[in-house]
Amino acid sequence: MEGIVSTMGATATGRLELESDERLVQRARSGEYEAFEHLFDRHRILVYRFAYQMVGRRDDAEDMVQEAFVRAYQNLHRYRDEAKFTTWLLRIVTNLCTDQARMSQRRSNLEQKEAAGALDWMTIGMTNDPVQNLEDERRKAALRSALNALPAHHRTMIVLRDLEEREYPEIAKIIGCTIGGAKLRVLRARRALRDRIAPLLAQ
Amino acid sequence: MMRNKRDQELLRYAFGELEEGKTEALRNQAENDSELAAELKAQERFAVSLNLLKDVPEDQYSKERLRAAILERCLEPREPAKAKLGWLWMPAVAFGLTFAIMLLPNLQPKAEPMVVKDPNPMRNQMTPPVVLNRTTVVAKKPEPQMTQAAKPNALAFGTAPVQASQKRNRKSYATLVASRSGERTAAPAATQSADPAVKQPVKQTTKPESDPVVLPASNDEPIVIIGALPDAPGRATETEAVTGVLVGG
Repeated sequence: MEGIVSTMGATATGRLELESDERLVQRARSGEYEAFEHLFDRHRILVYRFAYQMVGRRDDAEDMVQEAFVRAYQNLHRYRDEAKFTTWLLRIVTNLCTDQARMSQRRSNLEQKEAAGALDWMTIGMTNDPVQNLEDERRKAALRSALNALPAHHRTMIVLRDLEEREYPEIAKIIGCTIGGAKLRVLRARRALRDRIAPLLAQ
Repeated sequence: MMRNKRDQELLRYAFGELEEGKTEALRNQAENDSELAAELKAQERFAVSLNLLKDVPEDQYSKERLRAAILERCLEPREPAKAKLGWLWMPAVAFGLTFAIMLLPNLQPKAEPMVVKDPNPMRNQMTPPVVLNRTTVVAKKPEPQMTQAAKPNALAFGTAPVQASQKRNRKSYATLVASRSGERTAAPAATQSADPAVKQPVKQTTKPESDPVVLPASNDEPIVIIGALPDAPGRATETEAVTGVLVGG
Protein backbone atom coordinates (compact mmCIF):
# COMPACT_ATOMS: atom_id res chain seq x y z
CA MET A 1 0.00 0.00 0.00
CA GLU A 2 2.78 2.33 1.00
CA GLY A 3 4.54 1.48 -2.24
CA ILE A 4 1.47 2.36 -4.28
CA VAL A 5 1.14 5.71 -2.52
CA SER A 6 4.80 6.54 -3.07
CA THR A 7 4.54 5.49 -6.73
CA MET A 8 1.47 7.72 -7.15
CA GLY A 9 3.31 10.58 -5.47
CA ALA A 10 6.30 10.09 -7.74
CA THR A 11 4.01 10.01 -10.78
CA ALA A 12 2.34 13.25 -9.72
CA THR A 13 5.72 14.87 -9.13
CA GLY A 14 6.97 13.68 -12.50
CA ARG A 15 3.84 15.02 -14.14
CA LEU A 16 4.39 18.43 -12.53
CA GLU A 17 8.00 18.46 -13.63
CA LEU A 18 6.93 18.15 -17.25
CA GLU A 19 4.45 20.96 -17.07
CA SER A 20 5.20 24.48 -18.24
CA ASP A 21 5.65 27.39 -15.87
CA GLU A 22 2.38 28.90 -16.96
CA ARG A 23 0.47 25.70 -16.24
CA LEU A 24 2.11 25.42 -12.84
CA VAL A 25 1.12 28.99 -12.09
CA GLN A 26 -2.47 28.16 -12.98
CA ARG A 27 -2.39 25.20 -10.64
CA ALA A 28 -0.84 27.22 -7.85
CA ARG A 29 -3.50 29.88 -8.34
CA SER A 30 -6.19 27.29 -7.85
CA GLY A 31 -4.65 26.41 -4.49
CA GLU A 32 -2.26 23.60 -5.38
CA TYR A 33 0.73 24.52 -3.25
CA GLU A 34 2.83 21.66 -4.62
CA ALA A 35 2.80 23.35 -8.02
CA PHE A 36 4.22 26.48 -6.47
CA GLU A 37 6.97 24.46 -4.82
CA HIS A 38 7.86 23.09 -8.23
CA LEU A 39 8.19 26.60 -9.54
CA PHE A 40 10.42 27.37 -6.59
CA ASP A 41 12.62 24.33 -7.32
CA ARG A 42 12.97 25.31 -10.94
CA HIS A 43 13.89 28.94 -10.48
CA ARG A 44 15.41 29.11 -7.05
CA ILE A 45 18.99 29.14 -8.34
CA LEU A 46 18.24 31.85 -10.88
CA VAL A 47 16.75 34.10 -8.22
CA TYR A 48 19.48 33.31 -5.72
CA ARG A 49 22.28 34.06 -8.18
CA PHE A 50 20.76 37.36 -9.16
CA ALA A 51 20.13 38.29 -5.53
CA TYR A 52 23.66 37.33 -4.52
CA GLN A 53 25.16 39.44 -7.29
CA MET A 54 23.06 42.34 -6.18
CA VAL A 55 23.61 42.18 -2.43
CA GLY A 56 26.94 40.34 -2.28
CA ARG A 57 26.19 38.22 0.81
CA ARG A 58 24.83 34.72 0.96
CA ASP A 59 22.46 35.17 3.90
CA ASP A 60 21.09 38.43 2.50
CA ALA A 61 20.64 36.76 -0.86
CA GLU A 62 18.72 33.90 0.75
CA ASP A 63 16.47 36.36 2.54
CA MET A 64 15.90 37.99 -0.81
CA VAL A 65 15.00 34.65 -2.38
CA GLN A 66 12.47 34.04 0.36
CA GLU A 67 10.95 37.48 0.03
CA ALA A 68 10.81 37.19 -3.75
CA PHE A 69 8.97 33.87 -3.69
CA VAL A 70 6.61 34.98 -0.95
CA ARG A 71 5.75 38.04 -2.99
CA ALA A 72 5.37 35.92 -6.09
CA TYR A 73 2.95 33.69 -4.21
CA GLN A 74 1.01 36.66 -2.95
CA ASN A 75 0.76 38.18 -6.40
CA LEU A 76 0.23 35.09 -8.55
CA HIS A 77 -3.09 36.52 -9.73
CA ARG A 78 -1.22 39.46 -11.24
CA TYR A 79 0.99 37.32 -13.41
CA ARG A 80 -0.03 37.51 -17.06
CA ASP A 81 0.91 34.76 -19.46
CA GLU A 82 2.30 37.12 -22.09
CA ALA A 83 5.57 37.45 -20.11
CA LYS A 84 7.81 34.54 -19.20
CA PHE A 85 7.50 33.49 -15.58
CA THR A 86 11.24 33.97 -15.06
CA THR A 87 11.04 37.50 -16.44
CA TRP A 88 8.22 38.27 -14.05
CA LEU A 89 10.13 36.70 -11.18
CA LEU A 90 13.30 38.63 -11.98
CA ARG A 91 11.29 41.82 -12.10
CA ILE A 92 10.15 41.12 -8.55
CA VAL A 93 13.71 40.48 -7.41
CA THR A 94 14.98 43.58 -9.19
CA ASN A 95 12.41 45.73 -7.41
CA LEU A 96 13.26 44.09 -4.11
CA CYS A 97 16.96 44.69 -4.59
CA THR A 98 16.39 48.30 -5.57
CA ASP A 99 14.28 48.85 -2.44
CA GLN A 100 16.82 47.12 -0.26
CA ALA A 101 19.68 49.08 -1.79
CA ARG A 102 17.90 52.32 -1.04
CA MET A 103 17.40 51.39 2.58
CA SER A 104 20.74 49.96 3.51
CA GLN A 105 23.32 51.17 1.05
CA ARG A 106 25.62 52.61 3.65
CA ARG A 107 25.42 49.66 6.03
CA SER A 108 26.01 47.23 3.20
CA ASN A 109 29.07 49.09 1.97
CA LEU A 110 30.69 49.14 5.37
CA GLU A 111 30.03 45.48 6.04
CA GLN A 112 31.25 44.55 2.61
CA LYS A 113 34.47 46.39 3.14
CA GLU A 114 35.08 44.67 6.45
CA ALA A 115 34.14 41.24 5.13
CA ALA A 116 36.31 41.61 2.06
CA GLY A 117 39.35 42.44 4.17
CA ALA A 118 38.73 39.63 6.64
CA LEU A 119 38.25 36.93 4.05
CA ASP A 120 41.27 37.72 1.92
CA TRP A 121 43.52 35.23 3.71
CA MET A 122 40.93 32.56 4.26
CA THR A 123 39.78 32.02 0.70
CA ILE A 124 40.58 28.81 -1.12
CA GLY A 125 41.84 29.69 -4.57
CA MET A 126 41.02 28.28 -8.01
CA THR A 127 44.58 27.37 -8.96
CA ASN A 128 47.44 25.66 -7.21
CA ASP A 129 49.50 28.85 -7.16
CA PRO A 130 48.79 30.56 -3.82
CA VAL A 131 50.16 33.91 -5.01
CA GLN A 132 47.96 33.82 -8.06
CA ASN A 133 44.99 32.78 -5.93
CA LEU A 134 45.54 35.64 -3.57
CA GLU A 135 45.85 38.06 -6.44
CA ASP A 136 42.63 36.77 -7.99
CA GLU A 137 40.82 37.06 -4.72
CA ARG A 138 42.00 40.59 -4.21
CA ARG A 139 40.84 41.54 -7.66
CA LYS A 140 37.57 39.82 -7.10
CA ALA A 141 37.03 41.60 -3.79
CA ALA A 142 37.88 44.92 -5.36
CA LEU A 143 35.51 44.26 -8.22
CA ARG A 144 32.77 43.19 -5.85
CA SER A 145 33.25 46.35 -3.81
CA ALA A 146 33.13 48.48 -6.93
CA LEU A 147 29.99 46.72 -8.10
CA ASN A 148 28.30 47.16 -4.75
CA ALA A 149 29.24 50.79 -4.67
CA LEU A 150 27.42 51.41 -7.94
CA PRO A 151 23.92 52.84 -7.83
CA ALA A 152 21.30 50.08 -7.83
CA HIS A 153 20.10 50.81 -11.37
CA HIS A 154 23.62 50.46 -12.78
CA ARG A 155 24.30 47.35 -10.72
CA THR A 156 21.10 45.74 -11.96
CA MET A 157 22.17 46.19 -15.56
CA ILE A 158 25.67 44.77 -15.00
CA VAL A 159 24.27 41.76 -13.15
CA LEU A 160 21.56 41.05 -15.70
CA ARG A 161 23.70 41.44 -18.79
CA ASP A 162 27.29 40.64 -17.86
CA LEU A 163 26.97 38.27 -14.91
CA GLU A 164 23.69 36.47 -15.59
CA GLU A 165 24.00 36.89 -19.37
CA ARG A 166 20.40 37.75 -20.09
CA GLU A 167 19.43 38.83 -23.60
CA TYR A 168 18.54 42.46 -24.26
CA PRO A 169 14.85 41.83 -25.04
CA GLU A 170 14.43 40.08 -21.70
CA ILE A 171 16.31 42.80 -19.86
CA ALA A 172 14.02 45.33 -21.49
CA LYS A 173 11.00 43.43 -20.22
CA ILE A 174 12.41 43.08 -16.71
CA ILE A 175 13.32 46.74 -16.45
CA GLY A 176 10.28 47.92 -18.37
CA CYS A 177 11.95 49.81 -21.20
CA THR A 178 12.72 49.40 -24.90
CA ILE A 179 15.52 47.19 -26.20
CA GLY A 180 17.45 50.27 -27.29
CA GLY A 181 16.94 51.74 -23.86
CA ALA A 182 18.23 48.56 -22.25
CA LYS A 183 21.38 48.66 -24.44
CA LEU A 184 22.00 52.25 -23.51
CA ARG A 185 21.56 51.56 -19.81
CA VAL A 186 23.93 48.62 -19.94
CA LEU A 187 26.52 50.79 -21.69
CA ARG A 188 26.24 53.51 -19.05
CA ALA A 189 26.50 50.98 -16.25
CA ARG A 190 29.63 49.42 -17.77
CA ARG A 191 31.20 52.82 -18.14
CA ALA A 192 30.42 53.65 -14.50
CA LEU A 193 31.95 50.39 -13.30
CA ARG A 194 34.99 50.72 -15.54
CA ASP A 195 35.69 54.20 -14.19
CA ARG A 196 35.53 52.86 -10.66
CA ILE A 197 37.97 50.04 -11.26
CA ALA A 198 40.31 51.96 -13.56
CA PRO A 199 43.25 51.76 -11.11
CA LEU A 200 42.79 48.03 -10.84
CA LEU A 201 42.79 47.64 -14.62
CA ALA A 202 45.99 49.62 -14.91
CA GLN A 203 47.88 47.12 -12.73
CA MET B 1 30.83 63.48 -29.23
CA MET B 2 33.28 61.56 -31.37
CA ARG B 3 35.19 60.49 -28.28
CA ASN B 4 31.99 59.27 -26.69
CA LYS B 5 31.14 57.23 -29.76
CA ARG B 6 34.64 55.79 -29.85
CA ASP B 7 34.41 54.81 -26.19
CA GLN B 8 31.08 53.16 -26.86
CA GLU B 9 32.57 51.15 -29.70
CA LEU B 10 35.50 50.03 -27.57
CA LEU B 11 33.18 48.82 -24.80
CA ARG B 12 31.02 46.95 -27.25
CA TYR B 13 34.11 45.40 -28.78
CA ALA B 14 35.39 44.25 -25.39
CA PHE B 15 32.06 42.59 -24.55
CA GLY B 16 31.72 41.05 -28.03
CA GLU B 17 28.70 43.09 -29.02
CA LEU B 18 30.22 44.96 -31.96
CA GLU B 19 29.28 44.00 -35.50
CA GLU B 20 31.70 41.72 -37.34
CA GLY B 21 32.81 44.32 -39.91
CA LYS B 22 33.48 46.97 -37.31
CA THR B 23 35.39 44.53 -35.12
CA GLU B 24 37.74 43.67 -38.00
CA ALA B 25 38.25 47.33 -38.84
CA LEU B 26 39.10 48.10 -35.23
CA ARG B 27 41.64 45.28 -35.03
CA ASN B 28 43.33 46.42 -38.22
CA GLN B 29 43.45 49.94 -36.93
CA ALA B 30 44.96 48.78 -33.60
CA GLU B 31 47.84 47.04 -35.43
CA ASN B 32 49.09 50.43 -36.60
CA ASP B 33 48.04 52.43 -33.53
CA SER B 34 49.76 51.35 -30.29
CA GLU B 35 47.64 53.69 -28.16
CA LEU B 36 44.46 52.19 -29.49
CA ALA B 37 45.87 48.71 -28.98
CA ALA B 38 46.57 49.45 -25.29
CA GLU B 39 43.09 50.83 -24.88
CA LEU B 40 41.56 47.75 -26.44
CA LYS B 41 43.56 45.55 -24.11
CA ALA B 42 42.37 47.47 -21.03
CA GLN B 43 38.79 47.15 -22.14
CA GLU B 44 39.20 43.42 -22.71
CA ARG B 45 40.75 43.04 -19.27
CA PHE B 46 37.75 44.83 -17.78
CA ALA B 47 35.32 42.49 -19.54
CA VAL B 48 37.26 39.41 -18.50
CA SER B 49 37.63 40.55 -14.91
CA LEU B 50 33.86 40.61 -14.59
CA ASN B 51 33.95 36.84 -15.11
CA LEU B 52 35.54 36.59 -11.67
CA LEU B 53 32.24 37.68 -10.20
CA LYS B 54 30.24 35.00 -11.90
CA ASP B 55 31.06 32.44 -9.23
CA VAL B 56 28.41 32.37 -6.58
CA PRO B 57 28.53 30.28 -3.40
CA GLU B 58 25.94 27.57 -3.14
CA ASP B 59 22.74 28.53 -1.43
CA GLN B 60 21.29 26.70 1.53
CA TYR B 61 17.76 27.84 1.16
CA SER B 62 15.18 25.10 1.43
CA LYS B 63 11.57 24.48 0.53
CA GLU B 64 10.77 24.05 4.20
CA ARG B 65 11.97 27.56 4.96
CA LEU B 66 9.82 28.98 2.22
CA ARG B 67 6.80 26.99 3.39
CA ALA B 68 7.34 28.24 6.95
CA ALA B 69 7.62 31.82 5.72
CA ILE B 70 4.41 31.56 3.75
CA LEU B 71 2.57 29.89 6.61
CA GLU B 72 3.90 32.40 9.09
CA ARG B 73 2.34 35.20 7.16
CA CYS B 74 -0.88 33.22 6.73
CA LEU B 75 -0.89 33.96 3.07
CA GLU B 76 -3.37 32.83 0.53
CA PRO B 77 -3.31 33.82 -3.15
CA ARG B 78 -5.59 36.80 -3.35
CA GLU B 79 -8.51 36.97 -5.72
CA PRO B 80 -8.11 39.45 -8.54
CA ALA B 81 -11.62 40.83 -8.04
CA LYS B 82 -10.87 41.73 -4.43
CA ALA B 83 -7.67 43.44 -5.40
CA LYS B 84 -9.40 45.48 -8.08
CA LEU B 85 -12.11 46.66 -5.66
CA GLY B 86 -9.46 48.43 -3.61
CA TRP B 87 -10.11 51.89 -5.04
CA LEU B 88 -13.87 51.58 -5.61
CA TRP B 89 -14.84 52.53 -2.08
CA MET B 90 -13.79 56.14 -2.66
CA PRO B 91 -16.35 57.10 -5.34
CA ALA B 92 -18.97 55.02 -3.50
CA VAL B 93 -18.41 56.95 -0.27
CA ALA B 94 -18.39 60.27 -2.14
CA PHE B 95 -21.66 59.40 -3.84
CA GLY B 96 -23.22 58.31 -0.55
CA LEU B 97 -22.17 61.51 1.19
CA THR B 98 -23.55 63.67 -1.60
CA PHE B 99 -26.82 61.75 -1.50
CA ALA B 100 -27.06 62.15 2.28
CA ILE B 101 -26.40 65.89 2.09
CA MET B 102 -29.06 66.29 -0.58
CA LEU B 103 -31.61 64.35 1.47
CA LEU B 104 -30.90 66.03 4.81
CA PRO B 105 -33.30 69.01 4.44
CA ASN B 106 -36.17 66.68 3.55
CA LEU B 107 -35.62 64.59 6.66
CA GLN B 108 -36.84 67.34 9.01
CA PRO B 109 -40.01 66.29 10.90
CA LYS B 110 -43.20 67.45 9.24
CA ALA B 111 -45.56 69.49 11.43
CA GLU B 112 -49.12 68.48 11.89
CA PRO B 113 -51.50 70.43 9.70
CA MET B 114 -53.06 73.27 11.68
CA VAL B 115 -56.78 73.80 11.48
CA VAL B 116 -57.82 77.36 12.04
CA LYS B 117 -61.45 77.66 12.85
CA ASP B 118 -63.34 80.88 12.67
CA PRO B 119 -65.16 81.52 15.98
CA ASN B 120 -68.10 83.01 14.10
CA PRO B 121 -70.56 80.10 13.54
CA MET B 122 -72.12 81.76 10.52
CA ARG B 123 -68.81 82.00 8.73
CA ASN B 124 -68.01 78.44 9.58
CA GLN B 125 -71.16 77.35 7.84
CA MET B 126 -70.35 79.29 4.71
CA THR B 127 -66.64 78.67 4.41
CA PRO B 128 -64.75 75.52 5.23
CA PRO B 129 -62.07 75.76 7.94
CA VAL B 130 -58.72 76.91 6.70
CA VAL B 131 -56.18 74.17 6.80
CA LEU B 132 -52.62 75.28 7.22
CA ASN B 133 -50.08 72.89 6.07
CA ARG B 134 -46.80 73.06 4.34
CA THR B 135 -48.25 74.06 1.01
CA THR B 136 -50.68 76.60 2.41
CA VAL B 137 -49.57 80.16 1.96
CA VAL B 138 -50.40 82.02 5.13
CA ALA B 139 -51.41 85.59 4.46
CA LYS B 140 -49.05 85.79 1.53
CA LYS B 141 -51.61 87.78 -0.41
CA PRO B 142 -53.15 90.22 2.00
CA GLU B 143 -56.33 92.09 1.28
CA PRO B 144 -55.49 94.98 -1.01
CA GLN B 145 -57.46 97.42 1.15
CA MET B 146 -55.59 96.31 4.20
CA THR B 147 -52.23 96.64 2.53
CA GLN B 148 -53.04 100.11 1.32
CA ALA B 149 -54.09 101.13 4.78
CA ALA B 150 -51.14 99.59 6.46
CA LYS B 151 -48.26 100.43 4.17
CA PRO B 152 -47.87 104.17 4.74
CA ASN B 153 -46.79 103.90 8.35
CA ALA B 154 -46.06 100.21 8.49
CA LEU B 155 -47.94 99.90 11.76
CA ALA B 156 -51.20 98.57 10.48
CA PHE B 157 -52.70 95.56 12.06
CA GLY B 158 -51.77 92.40 10.22
CA THR B 159 -48.95 93.69 8.03
CA ALA B 160 -46.15 92.58 10.28
CA PRO B 161 -46.95 88.87 10.02
CA VAL B 162 -47.31 89.18 6.27
CA GLN B 163 -43.90 90.76 5.91
CA ALA B 164 -42.39 88.32 8.32
CA SER B 165 -43.76 85.36 6.48
CA GLN B 166 -42.44 86.72 3.19
CA LYS B 167 -38.99 87.09 4.63
CA ARG B 168 -38.81 83.63 6.07
CA ASN B 169 -37.44 80.93 3.93
CA ARG B 170 -38.77 77.43 3.59
CA LYS B 171 -36.43 75.94 6.13
CA SER B 172 -37.85 77.96 9.01
CA TYR B 173 -41.37 76.86 8.24
CA ALA B 174 -41.48 74.23 10.98
CA THR B 175 -40.37 76.79 13.56
CA LEU B 176 -43.02 79.20 12.35
CA VAL B 177 -45.78 76.60 12.60
CA ALA B 178 -44.62 75.58 16.07
CA SER B 179 -44.71 79.17 17.33
CA ARG B 180 -48.09 79.66 15.76
CA SER B 181 -49.57 76.59 17.34
CA GLY B 182 -48.20 77.76 20.71
CA GLU B 183 -49.93 81.07 20.33
CA ARG B 184 -53.07 79.31 19.27
CA THR B 185 -53.21 77.28 22.47
CA ALA B 186 -52.57 80.41 24.52
CA ALA B 187 -55.45 82.30 22.97
CA PRO B 188 -57.73 79.84 21.19
CA ALA B 189 -60.64 82.19 20.91
CA ALA B 190 -58.74 84.98 19.23
CA THR B 191 -58.50 83.52 15.78
CA GLN B 192 -61.04 85.61 14.02
CA SER B 193 -59.81 87.07 10.81
CA ALA B 194 -60.29 90.60 9.73
CA ASP B 195 -61.28 89.31 6.35
CA PRO B 196 -62.62 85.81 5.81
CA ALA B 197 -61.13 85.62 2.35
CA VAL B 198 -57.64 86.13 3.69
CA LYS B 199 -56.07 83.34 5.65
CA GLN B 200 -55.72 84.54 9.16
CA PRO B 201 -52.15 85.38 10.26
CA VAL B 202 -51.46 83.96 13.68
CA LYS B 203 -49.98 87.11 15.19
CA GLN B 204 -53.20 88.87 14.45
CA THR B 205 -55.09 86.53 16.74
CA THR B 206 -53.04 87.07 19.87
CA LYS B 207 -55.07 90.10 20.93
CA PRO B 208 -58.80 90.53 20.98
CA GLU B 209 -60.18 92.56 18.07
CA SER B 210 -61.62 95.24 20.29
CA ASP B 211 -58.36 95.98 22.05
CA PRO B 212 -56.18 98.59 20.48
CA VAL B 213 -52.76 97.48 19.48
CA VAL B 214 -49.89 99.75 20.42
CA LEU B 215 -46.73 99.22 18.48
CA PRO B 216 -43.46 100.90 19.34
CA ALA B 217 -42.58 103.97 17.30
CA SER B 218 -39.80 106.43 17.16
CA ASN B 219 -39.96 109.71 19.06
CA ASP B 220 -40.38 111.76 15.91
CA GLU B 221 -43.34 109.92 14.49
CA PRO B 222 -46.80 110.19 15.99
CA ILE B 223 -48.20 107.11 17.68
CA VAL B 224 -51.35 105.83 16.08
CA ILE B 225 -53.72 103.66 18.09
CA ILE B 226 -55.79 101.52 15.82
CA GLY B 227 -58.66 99.27 16.52
CA ALA B 228 -60.28 96.94 14.10
CA LEU B 229 -63.91 97.51 13.26
CA PRO B 230 -66.01 94.41 13.69
CA ASP B 231 -68.36 95.39 10.85
CA ALA B 232 -65.66 96.61 8.51
CA PRO B 233 -63.06 93.94 8.35
CA GLY B 234 -59.63 94.89 7.14
CA ARG B 235 -60.12 98.58 7.84
CA ALA B 236 -57.99 100.43 10.37
CA THR B 237 -59.60 102.93 12.74
CA GLU B 238 -57.97 105.43 15.03
CA THR B 239 -59.75 105.09 18.35
CA GLU B 240 -58.44 107.58 20.88
CA ALA B 241 -56.46 110.80 21.12
CA VAL B 242 -53.72 111.23 23.65
CA THR B 243 -51.07 113.93 24.03
CA GLY B 244 -48.40 113.38 21.47
CA VAL B 245 -50.49 110.65 19.98
CA LEU B 246 -52.50 110.97 16.82
CA VAL B 247 -55.97 109.52 17.23
CA GLY B 248 -58.46 109.07 14.50
CA GLY B 249 -61.21 106.93 12.98
